[in-house]
Amino acid sequence: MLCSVSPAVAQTTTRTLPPAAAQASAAAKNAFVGVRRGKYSVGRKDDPRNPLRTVELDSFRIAIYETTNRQYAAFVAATGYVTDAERHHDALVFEPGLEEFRWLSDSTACWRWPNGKSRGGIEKRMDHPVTTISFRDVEAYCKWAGVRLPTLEEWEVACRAGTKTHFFFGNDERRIGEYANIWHGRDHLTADHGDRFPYTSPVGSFKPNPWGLYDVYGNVFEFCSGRVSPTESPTLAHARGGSWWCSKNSCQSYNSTDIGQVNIRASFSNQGFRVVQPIRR
Amino acid sequence: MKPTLICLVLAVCIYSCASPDKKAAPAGDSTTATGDNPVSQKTDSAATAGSTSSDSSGEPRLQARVVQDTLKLFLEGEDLSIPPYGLEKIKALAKKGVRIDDPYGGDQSTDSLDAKVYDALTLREKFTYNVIHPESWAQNCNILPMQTDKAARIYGTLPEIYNEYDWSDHQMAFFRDNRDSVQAWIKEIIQRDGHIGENLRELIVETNATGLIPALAETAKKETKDHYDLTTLLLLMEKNKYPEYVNSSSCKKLADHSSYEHPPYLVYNKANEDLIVQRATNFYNGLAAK
Repeated sequence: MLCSVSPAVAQTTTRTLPPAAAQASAAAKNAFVGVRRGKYSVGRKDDPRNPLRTVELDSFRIAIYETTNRQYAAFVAATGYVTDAERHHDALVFEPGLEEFRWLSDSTACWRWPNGKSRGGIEKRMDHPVTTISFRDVEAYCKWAGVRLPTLEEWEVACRAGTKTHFFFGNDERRIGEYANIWHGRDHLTADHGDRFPYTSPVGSFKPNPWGLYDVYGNVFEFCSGRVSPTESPTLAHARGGSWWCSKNSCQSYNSTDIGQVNIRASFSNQGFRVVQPIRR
Repeated sequence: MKPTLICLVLAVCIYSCASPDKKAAPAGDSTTATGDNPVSQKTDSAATAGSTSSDSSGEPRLQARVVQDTLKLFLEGEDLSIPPYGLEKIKALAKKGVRIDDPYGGDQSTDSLDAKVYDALTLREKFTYNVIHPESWAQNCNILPMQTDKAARIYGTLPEIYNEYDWSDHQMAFFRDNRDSVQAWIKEIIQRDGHIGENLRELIVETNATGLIPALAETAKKETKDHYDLTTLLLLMEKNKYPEYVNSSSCKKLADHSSYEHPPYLVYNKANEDLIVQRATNFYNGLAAK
């Protein structure tokens, strides 16, 4: 079947929660949505990085929330894992006043202080998505937790939730604020007061997509596995969905088709992930 | 203790502190820890390279060893301008670059020349090094949105140039602190090549090198496969809030991001090219008259 909407959702393993409840429970629970095996349409016409095509996927279960600081803290507490940013002190952070696409290197920044120590820690943000981690840090978490990243195609199928439009809510970008924590300012020279969240927001703070996944667009770029091109550098990782930094006038990455790229060792305060749980047979 | 024994003890300490595969998943977590090694590691040789310390929060910090490695230089690309100043010297030095030896193994960082080596370079050599070796990372969306049909369109933004890499803070500071010299060197390269590479266009905008407007206006007329010299002129006028441009319909059109099919653009034709060049020239003449 092609682009089968209703049959694609095999089951919602945890009932979809309203945002407030979602915030309260996100850190404690891993809630997943099942997606059935099938053929799905992904990509966009004339997009060289993500051309329109049909893919055949096995069934998978994807987290409805992005992985939180609390979840990552549990991993670090259990393992003593030290992230790339903690080892190399080369994380890139943001503060209003920077020109488009410029980030600051901050030797104090890591997942505990996502935008550097001077900009505060995560103590009161344990239900926010973990950030300032690299692709390799994410891989370490996944292996420890017995989960994996979604592939580029799985992410898009779960994001689209059976839709064929540019956004899962249609083609009207003006509605993005209902579903996503993005940057609403004209540029990044002044702070964004367009919503309540200048940086990340607690997971589940915005409306979910039709299959119950929260923050598919915005909040943090979500790392995926897989390659855009078979010949691309092995130092590249890919992430999707845009982030709190992304704006209409900059990259507009908060959509169902765009695919970002970043070095596997780079740590930015707008990078995070959501996981896929293996289906045991 | 003998040095080798110290290293061995250190290696064991680091391994037991930082190796996730020796620990269990948290109780109550609905995910299940596997028996697999969670992290691919090469701790044997690498761990001996590091040492542990604590920061003010008491969190363990693993100090990685600095070792030599060949730096990645951007000498070939679709459309890059390579500065000639001390190029062979920089190529040779790049073979003795500094990288952080990752105690966990795996791929390494971009990294840089040793600070003393860098400081000993002349200004021109530093310029060459900084242009061809971006030391930092580019974020996920630097490559977006996609720009297609470049020969027929004048886009409002420049394309990304270094894939996942970008200039570091100190490299940007170098370019800005030496703006006049940077401008003069770029001018020499344009005269040499009769063309401006993507990297230098980016640098012109970043350093607000308005003195290069006449050179850009000249090269823009020769462009056929894309029109990013015109884009550069537009960005310079926008950056300096030149009224004739920022109040124009062209500027408004390039600020209209309502289409999700493509980023905003102006249709390329002779009239639009002439208009952009004329406005930029007016802007430049106004600056020169001040």
